[in-house]
Amino acid sequence: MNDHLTEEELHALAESSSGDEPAPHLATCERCRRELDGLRVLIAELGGLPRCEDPPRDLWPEVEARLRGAGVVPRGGRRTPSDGPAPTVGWPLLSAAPAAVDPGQTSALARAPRGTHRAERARRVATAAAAAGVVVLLVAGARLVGLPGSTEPTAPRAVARSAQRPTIAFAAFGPSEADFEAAAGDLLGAFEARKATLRPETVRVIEENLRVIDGAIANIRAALAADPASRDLTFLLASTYEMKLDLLRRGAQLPRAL
Amino acid sequence: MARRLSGSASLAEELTQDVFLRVFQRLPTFRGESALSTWLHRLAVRVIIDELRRSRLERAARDPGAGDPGPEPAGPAGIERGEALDLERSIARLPQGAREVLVLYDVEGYQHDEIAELLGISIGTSKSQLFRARRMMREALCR
Repeated sequence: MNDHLTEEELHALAESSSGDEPAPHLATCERCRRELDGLRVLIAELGGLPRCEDPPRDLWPEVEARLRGAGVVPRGGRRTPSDGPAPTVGWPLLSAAPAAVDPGQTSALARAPRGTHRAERARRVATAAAAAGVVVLLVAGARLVGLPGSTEPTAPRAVARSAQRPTIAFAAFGPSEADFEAAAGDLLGAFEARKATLRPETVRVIEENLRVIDGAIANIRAALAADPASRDLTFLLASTYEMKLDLLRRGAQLPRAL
Repeated sequence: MARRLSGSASLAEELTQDVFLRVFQRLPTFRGESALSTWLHRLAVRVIIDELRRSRLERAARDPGAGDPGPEPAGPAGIERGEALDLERSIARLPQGAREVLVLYDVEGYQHDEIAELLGISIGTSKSQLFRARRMMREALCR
């Protein structure tokens, strides 16, 4: 059989949805049909691979040591056995992030799924969205530990002081949480007043991120209820509140039509 | 992602640490122009790709002969015969350039223009690497 489909044509057909017009050549060419079927199976299998997997061991001690070595987090305040288990750091945090909160347009990864894997992709997006809350927690921590170059105004003084003292217990953080909530309420009001002047997709991104952060805050508070003396959880809660304030502050200060 | 892009579990651990360090360092530059998750994932990809390239260059500089894997095989010869290959192992055995494109496109869901930007290659190269990777995967898995 002459004039077989080119490699590019085969791959394009393999990625297209099953309802697309098939190439007429396929009706008469067993070889190209076989190639196409094989490609479709492979693409389906690759698209179905899990994007999140647990690491074989806890990587946090090394990450923490490097963060301290690089001066990203303050030295001292080492973990003690009474602090409970260290947060686990692994691939899920890296691979969960992409599809999390922006399934429409700004996410490179959460775009419309290819081929026959829409349901699977959608399921993974939902899973990743949940995991993204954890990403926020870890990332948010940096805000409160003196990252270089940050000129943004920080959280209310009481909150900032609390966050800089890793030995603080949840009970001591309690009063500061009210400060956070008050500041968040003010900024949310400013953002709401600003929303009408912003592009809808910008508003959507901000609101999606706020939902992720609020989910993270709820998760940490639930964990703290079970372990109120945990320094790490207290620290994460303050950090996550700070991220929420920062996001709201940015949203309230965005120029028009952004 | 780190494991798949590097083809090595031990290297993936180092890369994961690199990513976390970079994320904490770069967080002040996040401007909220995209979802935080999108920003994080792109940063992770860049860190992993940069580190893989840097380590290859260092290997080549240390030992230009043995350390340099040389030109990537043009065909499935790079995949060992006679082994029970599953998807993950087949991915790990792909040449680096083909593996990067295949993982980013078929597993992580990036488009060719995004991959071209991330890897510093042309869109045409991204496509040809993908076709090559899929061809090698199929041949390996069909054995």
